[in-house]
Amino acid sequence: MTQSVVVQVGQCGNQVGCRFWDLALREHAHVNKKGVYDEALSSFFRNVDSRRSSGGACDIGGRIHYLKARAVLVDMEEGVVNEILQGPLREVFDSTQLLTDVSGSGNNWAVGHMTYGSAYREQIVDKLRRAAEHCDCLQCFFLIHSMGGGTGSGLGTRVLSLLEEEFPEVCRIVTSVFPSPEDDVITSPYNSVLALRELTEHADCVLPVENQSLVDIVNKIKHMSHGGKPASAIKRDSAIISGQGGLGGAEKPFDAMNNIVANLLLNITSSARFQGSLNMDLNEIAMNLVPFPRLHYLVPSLTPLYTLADVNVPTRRLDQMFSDAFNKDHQLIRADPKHSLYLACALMVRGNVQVSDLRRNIERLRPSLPFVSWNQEGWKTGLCSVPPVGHSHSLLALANNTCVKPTFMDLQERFTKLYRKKAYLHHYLHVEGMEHSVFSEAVTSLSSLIEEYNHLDATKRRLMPDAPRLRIAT
Amino acid sequence: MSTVVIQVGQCGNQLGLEWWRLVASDPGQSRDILQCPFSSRDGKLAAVFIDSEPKVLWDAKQFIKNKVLDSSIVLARGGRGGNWAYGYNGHWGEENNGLLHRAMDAVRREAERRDYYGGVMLLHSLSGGTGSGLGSKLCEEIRDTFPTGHILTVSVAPHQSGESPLQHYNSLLSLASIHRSADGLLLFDNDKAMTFAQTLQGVPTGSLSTVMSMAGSLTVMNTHIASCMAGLLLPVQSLTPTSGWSLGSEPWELIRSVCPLPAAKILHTTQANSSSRAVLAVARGNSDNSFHLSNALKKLKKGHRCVSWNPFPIDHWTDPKNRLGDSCSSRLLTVCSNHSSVSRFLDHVVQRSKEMLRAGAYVHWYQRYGVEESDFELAMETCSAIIQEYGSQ
Repeated sequence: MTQSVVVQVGQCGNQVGCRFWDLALREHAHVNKKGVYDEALSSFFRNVDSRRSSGGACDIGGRIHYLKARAVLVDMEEGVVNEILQGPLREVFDSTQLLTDVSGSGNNWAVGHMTYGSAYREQIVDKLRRAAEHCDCLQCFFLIHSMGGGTGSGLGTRVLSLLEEEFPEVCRIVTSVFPSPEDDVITSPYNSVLALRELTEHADCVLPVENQSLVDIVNKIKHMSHGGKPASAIKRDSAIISGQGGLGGAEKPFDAMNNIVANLLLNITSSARFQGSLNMDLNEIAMNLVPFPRLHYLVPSLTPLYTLADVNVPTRRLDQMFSDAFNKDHQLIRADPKHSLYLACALMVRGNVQVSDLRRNIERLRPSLPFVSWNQEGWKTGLCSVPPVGHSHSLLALANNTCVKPTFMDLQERFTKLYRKKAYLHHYLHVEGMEHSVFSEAVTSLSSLIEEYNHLDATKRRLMPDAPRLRIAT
Repeated sequence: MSTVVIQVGQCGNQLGLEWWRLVASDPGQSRDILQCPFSSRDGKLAAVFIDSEPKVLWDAKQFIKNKVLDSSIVLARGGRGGNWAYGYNGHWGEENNGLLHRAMDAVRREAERRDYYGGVMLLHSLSGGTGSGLGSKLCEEIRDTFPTGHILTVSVAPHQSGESPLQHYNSLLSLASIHRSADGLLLFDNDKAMTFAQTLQGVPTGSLSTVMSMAGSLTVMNTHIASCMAGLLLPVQSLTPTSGWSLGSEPWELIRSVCPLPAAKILHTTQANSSSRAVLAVARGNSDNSFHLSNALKKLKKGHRCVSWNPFPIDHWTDPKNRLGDSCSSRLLTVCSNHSSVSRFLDHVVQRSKEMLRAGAYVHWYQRYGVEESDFELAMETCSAIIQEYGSQ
């Protein structure tokens, strides 16, 4: 059984991470009724008994004493991490896993990446090594951060390149929260473009998530539960925005949105933790979905968003779940994959679903989804038998699709608007180690990425079939 | 008794567990252990279970604990990423392929426990990482270690509508490698097995049903494949010497009957309308000797359009009892043929792989584990040669 380490950087990263650990404990508590420390638990948690002399780590098969998360928490200001340590999850982390400072990064990528990156390099590497040593067989690092700020974006990408340097064979999956156009951080285009270059160079795959899409999903669910007929009440703990049944206390403002991202991470790792008829390990995600090393941006979409509470109402058809996964309302970034080109697509199904249902739905959906010509059968399927809490089955679709191009082009435009006027540039250039060339390299990297997607899109025109001709009866 | 059954990878192990359930777990047989032809005198099965991740075998722990030697279960962690190169060569930067060495040790130990070693039967899939990559490497090593033994592989081809984006590369590389080292390849197809599973459950194919069908149609597919194998490979009276003890040489006799040419070794167990080099029909439940009197043999000969140069194109074995349990009918006919429709499948694999190579897709993942473009070219040449061989008659 393999283990994964979660590295959460910055305010957004730590808030999402906090929800993730809460929901992970909830899921394992739901599945593991006997209180035995099993293989599935060991992928994210260590079992520690402080009464033992050798530092306390316990083996698989024993009773659960204290679960410690396999995580490293990094933030350059103390507020968020202190809140976590005072909340109900304080037992899950110990002080050797934390790295904090007091003054923050001022929403400045350069401060995060260069100043703090150099100052804390040894400490970060030390904490990562310690987390890795606690693992028998480390397979993957999950990095959670945001792109628009200073710490998450700057220091987070510095951590990413450290991970590549120190642990080259371990997969790096990054969950990046992209800023919306109406973001309140003025310099977020600079931070995002500078961070994007690092992601393209150093990550194995990136799951981009946009705040606006999360807000839309939250609104959709709330509308469903408040409006509508009485029979359409939603089962409390089944909505992907709900933390019901977890340890966390009163719901805080961003919790609903962060729960969606936490559920994304739980579903991606489900097949690696639990059994199923078609297992899909974490290394298979990158190997099967990334045909070209730089094009590793996978658009996630999660269904179902909720299940109805009234058992007399027939459950939505299984096939509806598959159709929904390709609906643009369910994507976690604003994108329209159906009208762009698919390079590959993974369907990770959880719950009581048969292989025949899976095949039938793939056959049904194939004609409407344009795949690149050399990968017409570019489907990767995984079946895990354990469903998520509150649902009988669920589907996570990860699409490597050229529909991320508009997001990148949008980012490029916002960056250019500021850069042309050299607005706020002096804040960055004042930082030691930062020069104009860093900016120009980042822009070049983004342009060439967009160009690669353009090149693939150009092949799509050749795929479009001719419109069927009318037969004229004679 | 002369066969060691090796199951590699997730598909191989799932199929293998169904096979053992069919063949070896009948409680009535446990009293007379020699009844199960694939076990040795101490009652342990002649099996080696190999996988690069432990989850598949967790479910079957109870079943395995009593029946298989501990040393015959070889596991690693982390999987092989659905990448043939990773399965074939092992970890990036690892000096020796540790899993391969442990697997070969287990196979050697099992082979030494046989009274008479005839060969191995390898169960695996063509499109994954462990089954296809490690399976191919094992075939080559076993051929080197036991040059006079036979190798029969049971290879499962993936769904044509797409099970994994790497399935074409993996199928190409494993078919090329296995065709070189093995003596016979029993090819099964997920699409056909699924169609069979659905008609069995009474669900018409292509309907949008909302009712959950019975637990695990994957299980039904595997049971179908296992029963085809069992129909061919369980002891038959025609081959049992008069002492009454079967040597378990059915797999080798199968190969001798149905693989007349070394350049064409891929076998089907379904009928088709292409021209066949050789056919084997195994009739079980033939207690009243009606098989000989029926026109079955004549019909088979006509239906298969056998080649002109083979004077005895149809071989048949019979057995008065049908051992495959009382869930099946009292008679069972299994047909194995070596016919040219396999070239369609091979052609498809070669064409798709060529297109992907031309686009340069996924190549960096294979290069990372030591497989270069030249290896792909070599595999394509081998497969093209096989296609040509089948096409030439």
